[in-house]
Amino acid sequence: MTITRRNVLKGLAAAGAAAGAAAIAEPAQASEGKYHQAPDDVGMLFDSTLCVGCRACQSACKVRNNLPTDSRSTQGGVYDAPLDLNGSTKNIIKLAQDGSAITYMKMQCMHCIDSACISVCMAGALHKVQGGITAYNAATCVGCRYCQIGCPFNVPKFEWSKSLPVVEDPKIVKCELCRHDQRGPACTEVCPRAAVIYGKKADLLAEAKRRVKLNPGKYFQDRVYGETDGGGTNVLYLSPKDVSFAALGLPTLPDEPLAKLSESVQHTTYKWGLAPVAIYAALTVVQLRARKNEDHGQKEEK
Amino acid sequence: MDNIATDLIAELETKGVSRRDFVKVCTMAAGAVGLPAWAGEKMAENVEKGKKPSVIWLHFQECTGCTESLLRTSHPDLGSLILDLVSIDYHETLFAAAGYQIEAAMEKAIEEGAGKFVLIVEGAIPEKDGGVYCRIGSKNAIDTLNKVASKAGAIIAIGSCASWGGVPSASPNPTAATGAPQILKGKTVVTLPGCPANPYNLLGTVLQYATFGTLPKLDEKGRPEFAYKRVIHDDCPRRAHFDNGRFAKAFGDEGHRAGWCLYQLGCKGPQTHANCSLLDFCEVPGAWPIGIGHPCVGCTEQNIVFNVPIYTNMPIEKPTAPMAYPGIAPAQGGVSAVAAGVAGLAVGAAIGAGFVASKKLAKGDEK
Amino acid sequence: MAAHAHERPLGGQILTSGFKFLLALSAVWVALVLVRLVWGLNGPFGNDPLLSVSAQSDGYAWGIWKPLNVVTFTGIAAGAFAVGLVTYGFNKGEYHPLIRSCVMAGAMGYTLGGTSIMIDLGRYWNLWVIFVPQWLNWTSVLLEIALCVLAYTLVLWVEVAPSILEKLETSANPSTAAKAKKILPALRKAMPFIISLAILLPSMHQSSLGGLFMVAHTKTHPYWHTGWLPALFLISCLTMGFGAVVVIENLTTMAWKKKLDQPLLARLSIIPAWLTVAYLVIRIADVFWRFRDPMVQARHAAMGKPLFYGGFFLLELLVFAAAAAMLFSKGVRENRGKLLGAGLLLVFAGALYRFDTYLVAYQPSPGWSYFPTPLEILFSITLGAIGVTVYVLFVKLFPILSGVEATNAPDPVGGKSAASH
Repeated sequence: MTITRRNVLKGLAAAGAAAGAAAIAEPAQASEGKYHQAPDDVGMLFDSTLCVGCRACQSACKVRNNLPTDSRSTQGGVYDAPLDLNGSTKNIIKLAQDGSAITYMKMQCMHCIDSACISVCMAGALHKVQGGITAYNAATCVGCRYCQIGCPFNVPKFEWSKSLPVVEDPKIVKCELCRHDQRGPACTEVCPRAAVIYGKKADLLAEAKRRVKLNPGKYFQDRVYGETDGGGTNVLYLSPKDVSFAALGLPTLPDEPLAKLSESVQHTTYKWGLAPVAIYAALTVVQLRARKNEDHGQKEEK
Repeated sequence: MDNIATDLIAELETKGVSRRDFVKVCTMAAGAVGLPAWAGEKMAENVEKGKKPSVIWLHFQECTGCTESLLRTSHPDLGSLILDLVSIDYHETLFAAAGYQIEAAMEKAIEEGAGKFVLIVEGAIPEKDGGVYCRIGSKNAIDTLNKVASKAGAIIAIGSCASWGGVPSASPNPTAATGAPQILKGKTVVTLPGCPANPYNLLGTVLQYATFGTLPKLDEKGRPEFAYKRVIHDDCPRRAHFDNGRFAKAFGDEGHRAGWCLYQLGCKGPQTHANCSLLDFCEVPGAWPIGIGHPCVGCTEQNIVFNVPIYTNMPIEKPTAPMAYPGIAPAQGGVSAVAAGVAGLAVGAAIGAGFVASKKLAKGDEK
Repeated sequence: MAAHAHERPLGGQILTSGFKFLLALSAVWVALVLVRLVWGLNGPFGNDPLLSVSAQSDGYAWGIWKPLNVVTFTGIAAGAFAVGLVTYGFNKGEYHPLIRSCVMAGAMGYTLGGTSIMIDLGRYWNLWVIFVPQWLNWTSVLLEIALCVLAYTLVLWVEVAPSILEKLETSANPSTAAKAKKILPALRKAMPFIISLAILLPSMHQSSLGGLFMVAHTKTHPYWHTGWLPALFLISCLTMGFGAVVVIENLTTMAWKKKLDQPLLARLSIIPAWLTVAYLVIRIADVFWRFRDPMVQARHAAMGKPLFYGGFFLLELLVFAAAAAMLFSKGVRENRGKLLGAGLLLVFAGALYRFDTYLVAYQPSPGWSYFPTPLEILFSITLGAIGVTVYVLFVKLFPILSGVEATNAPDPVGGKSAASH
């Protein structure tokens, strides 16, 4: 190829586009939803038998993530009182009450090993990054909100109050384990009772199992939620004896990733594009043959 | 007021205070302002070695409340001890001298301590008409301030008046009263707003400077963060009432008498940076506005006190959670009756029309 | 081509009072779009059940925009797919006269659906990212739908093109006529390849529209959640399409003086009868088969509200069954009004199935409820009005409808009838 100005400009444009594309999209792991647990994956362990509902984690999360408060005028005062995770709340403490028994539940992204939200995201805005964190990159997000449908925990939230591009820039909002800050998650840092702790998923799972083993009958069904639920999550939960995980808002999930059914149907139907190509070929052949017969018939008439 | 170091311990002992008690006082003073406990020892050492910091205290447009507040810091005996930790070399209220004598005292203090003394400013400084509206000893306040500040090692503005103008600066501000930082542009001025300022904040700042030669971490308004970083609301003893929605609605009502939150009576606690709830005034527990049942008026904040009516609420910028929790699955979304009506109408109309059309055409076709 | 000798432009006055009403509705739609763009999907006042332009929320992120504006409108547009499949895929040339009308309705239906999606997107300015191959996530069913729908909309308009070009051939402007004369034969020659796409693409995305909910196991009621969703959506889109053909033919005949070929429709309409039976068999068998799994039973028990879910499920089955029962009767098929009734039932059944899957069966977690706001409903109605507007304009200008008399057709009677969409 001769070096002409046109060629150089073309090449630069292509390189620029590629670099731009690479810059906008963050490096992700393999795109074919077959995610596995890596040894240095991080996560959290929430032991609801230890939580006292102080909500230091809720406030700390808002501060570290620069989130606005959900100002609500109620009971005569003005409070930050989100009802649920939403466009300005990435972490929330909820109350599960059964008679006089009170259990506090911390809700945030579960960082599933094989996240359904990642599987359904059209252009990979939701993707895995180092540490097995389910991360979000608004640069390739079109705001289709399929992730809200896909997530069994209803974690991703949208900023409905915003609309305009650039000046308001609505995004999907969810916990990303404070990956933007080298200090790590704010919630685990401030918890005064270590009800929620941060560390390597493997260590946390071992710790959770240790607690269950050392305290038989203390925890619900003597099991750790997230070990296999939904294919496994990087955020683990322990619940007190008489409080089911469902009562805490954690859905009963099969042991396989939520996206497996959808992915396998897609995969089978479109394997290597065989079926579409075959159908296309068949349809074209039928029509061309019909046209040939018609022309033939017309020629005969003549 | 020269104190001969070696006589100090003797003096203390005559007052019935041992060196140990003296160190305890220093430690208390250190602790009250967030310095480590061992700083108390060092302070006591400095005092014994005669290295008491020199303090020059200027008064301008003020009510002397800040000085009075400082004087009320303890029982008389301990009080004078605390005053003995610093060497006050010029103070118009406390000095017996007057006239040319006191002016000479100031000149001497400035000369001897040039570059080292701590300048404490109390009161606002008028700027209008060259600053004639406050003249002491035939000199305009603004000129005195500039002159003394130029030789100071550290400058502290005590009280709201010196910090940003205080009462004299309230609208319409006929004298163009303003605070020391606005006059001494470019210089680091520690401001300790409050009306009056809490004296322990002053002591802590001065003692830190005296012991370590450093000033505490200041915010963008020059206020030490150890005292002014948080708002009253954050450390208020009545916070639990706020979080639980228990408010006094009128002075003397049941809630007021029970000591409930004063937010609905106009308390400016959520917007006011100060540590009044943590350090009592006059060392009397509960001797501060909210403690005696009156809403905070925001006396440290320029845009609140003398500006926003005392019984008017201001918006809370960073609210925190109430003592109420959302349930696991709170009810969200809803149905509007109008919408249901519209939808019902549309669907009904479509089905009805389709049915009618189909029936009519069917009959027509059969004919 | 002799096959298209039937079609003629309707002619006649365009700006009738009915048409003006449709234009007014279209203007209302534009206003609603502006509100959405400036104040957001819950605008203008945030989530107000009365005044918001949409009640979409974190629990019901797609509201009625997806099931109605996209899935149902394109389901009705699937007449193009259904009749195209029969005419070209199975070489039943007798249905040619219906094709252009279906394709026109199809092109409009898909344009409306695509427009609705684009306005619904929360970050629509990023839409270009779905064309960057290295970012695409091929496990996403929605991605496949997006690309497929965009391609198919283009294909449909290419299928409409011959009608336009035929009209341009007779244009007063000689250069326009010459250009049209040049393009038309080439286009006709390429048609089989385009038509193959026009059958392949909808079979892909119409099934995927059902496949979207396969991922939401625990949030979709077990009566609706199944691995058979793609197949069921595909079959029901065909039945909807066949139903829509009958409905549209009747509407155009009622609105304007045009001949309706009842025997043709009668012959066509046996197909949806069998498709409906296939649908019902799969649907019912699938539910019974899946309920053997204790996890499904548990989910069914946990979601509760037996009258609500059971009621909608039974209603669906009843409407489908009623349509099938009617269609199997020759008397019904050959009677214009009764066939129209059956066609309407087919459309309603398909629409109901889609609404049920997307909204009724979907419960993200207890506590969430959703109902469209009045403005949201108005958005869909006015969006449909735009479709009707363009459809009416095109059939008057271009040779799309069959059965139009050769002489100048008399001025058309009013516009939108109450039974239209």
